[in-house]
Amino acid sequence: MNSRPLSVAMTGTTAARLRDHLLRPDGQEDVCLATYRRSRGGQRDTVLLSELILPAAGERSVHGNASFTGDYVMRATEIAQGAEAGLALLHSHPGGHGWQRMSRPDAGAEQSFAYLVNELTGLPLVGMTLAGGDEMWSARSWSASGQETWAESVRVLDAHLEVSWNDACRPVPPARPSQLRTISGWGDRVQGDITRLRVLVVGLGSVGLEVALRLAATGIETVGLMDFDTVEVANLDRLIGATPIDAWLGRSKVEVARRLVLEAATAAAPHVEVHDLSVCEPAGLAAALNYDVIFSCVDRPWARAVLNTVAYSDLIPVIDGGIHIDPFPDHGMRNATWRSHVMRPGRPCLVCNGQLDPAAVPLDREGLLDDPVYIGQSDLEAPARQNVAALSVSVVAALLAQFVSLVVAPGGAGEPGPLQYVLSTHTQEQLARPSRENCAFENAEAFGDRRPALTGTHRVADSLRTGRAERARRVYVRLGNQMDKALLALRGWLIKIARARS
Amino acid sequence: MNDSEAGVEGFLTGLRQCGIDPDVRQGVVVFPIDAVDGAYAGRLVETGVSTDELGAWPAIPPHWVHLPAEVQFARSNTQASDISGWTKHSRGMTGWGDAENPSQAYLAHVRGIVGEAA
Repeated sequence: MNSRPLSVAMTGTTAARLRDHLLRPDGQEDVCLATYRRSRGGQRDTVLLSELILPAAGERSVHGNASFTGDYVMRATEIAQGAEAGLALLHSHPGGHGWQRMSRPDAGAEQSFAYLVNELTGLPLVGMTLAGGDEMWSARSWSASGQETWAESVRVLDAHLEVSWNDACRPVPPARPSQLRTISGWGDRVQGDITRLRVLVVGLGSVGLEVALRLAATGIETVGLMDFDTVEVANLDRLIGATPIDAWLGRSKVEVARRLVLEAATAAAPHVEVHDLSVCEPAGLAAALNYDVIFSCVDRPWARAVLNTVAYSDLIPVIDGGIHIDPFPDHGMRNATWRSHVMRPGRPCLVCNGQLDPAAVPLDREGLLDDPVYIGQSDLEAPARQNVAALSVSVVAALLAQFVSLVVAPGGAGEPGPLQYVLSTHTQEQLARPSRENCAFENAEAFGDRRPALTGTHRVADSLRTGRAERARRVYVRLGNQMDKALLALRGWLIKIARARS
Repeated sequence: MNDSEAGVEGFLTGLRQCGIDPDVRQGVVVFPIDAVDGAYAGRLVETGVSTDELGAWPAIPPHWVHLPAEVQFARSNTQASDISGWTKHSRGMTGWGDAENPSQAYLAHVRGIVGEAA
């Protein structure tokens, strides 16, 4: 790895085993090795810890500090080679607090194995330190020549997503007057932790757009927006903030969402990243791997399958949900239910949770679910299209509550597992959905770049982007865009002045 | 599951473990199955799966079943196969992902389809 941003992720189970080994009752340092897999995003590399290799008798000695034998490193390196994985060297600073820097002996120990490990595994040696005082992690990778690259974060994914931040790489965003009430809800430290998360919203319909606005209003600095669709008149009852001008000019949903999210943002330097892509395209998946948390606000099986993969193979929690409206055949509504759940190791995947039929994925991928001839010949039902603008905000609330539970853990409890709200009875139930023993999604935990290969050419996304590009060349669209953008620029300028003076 | 059990290689390995010797022909994994029901009962029938559909095996099952053109059905949604003289048939499945051995589960699915041939 090189100067690209680096992050490390592990499951809560792995973190617990490491704590048990590295934080000794006698207060001495300890050391161990682990294999890792790489997850390469478009901009960021992530190291995913996979198999712990604890020292056998005689392979390390503890004497206040901890030392280990070359044989231990060679044994672990052979295991890493067999798994085509990298190798991480982990040790503890029992009394340490916060992100740990390296003492000269510690750096020397890691550096001395950097070349050997690079040569034998083809991947950099990763060094990690666990601070015993507050259980914060720190991490760096070593090139073959012994150059270190510090990670920007270490993520431990459990019911509570706990992130150790390297303040030098990712400083705490300054608190703003517009965030005072939010900060009073959970304090400076939590605000500083969650506003540094990179959060991606996939799908910018009625739910996704509203989720993105709320994230930006909370103060999250980096919000990613991914959608390939175009704003149409039929969307205006659900895309609150999109205007008839946006539909007339045929703007992309990401362009409109970016404008709205920037206006809602309270961060001092909001960074809104737009991805005019499907997550099913290779570039879309690569972009998604740059984020710490993903909201799945899409209803198509292919995209949901890709996100289902990322949650387990790349250890990026995916917050998913949706609404089901059950109308009477003649008129009226029988019921409506909405669900929310976090996909992550330890919780059921979308297939185990009954929210994704894997057999529908190849059909969606080939566009057959949109082909009325195919649907007619196959006796399939066309996808349900019912949506009620007044209820979509309930799904938004359910997803955001899962998010807050995941990243803040109110009362020490993390995300609650799958939930379902039943409108007719106004009851919320916790859904006990066990993971299937043979689930191929969940069993691909921490596979990283060896995740099930699901991406490919997305004909609908290609066609919509081409259509927008052609439309943008028309005279009335160019004129309309120039006039509207001039007005928006003026408004943006006024907002900047207002923010500077408030 | 380890990653050697996934993708095209995983599918091929799984078939071999079931005692079947697959062959890759024009981008299609071709393998014989012994039909147990219907017009082809007791005969070996060649069948195939496109490698393009196996990237996410066994998480996502392949949809199209490739068969020689002489294997006909009373009703079938079909497209041309990559193998000349073959046809691919649209066949969904229900409850995918529960099986301990996905290869055996897939073979049972294909046997069921061939059993419906006229």
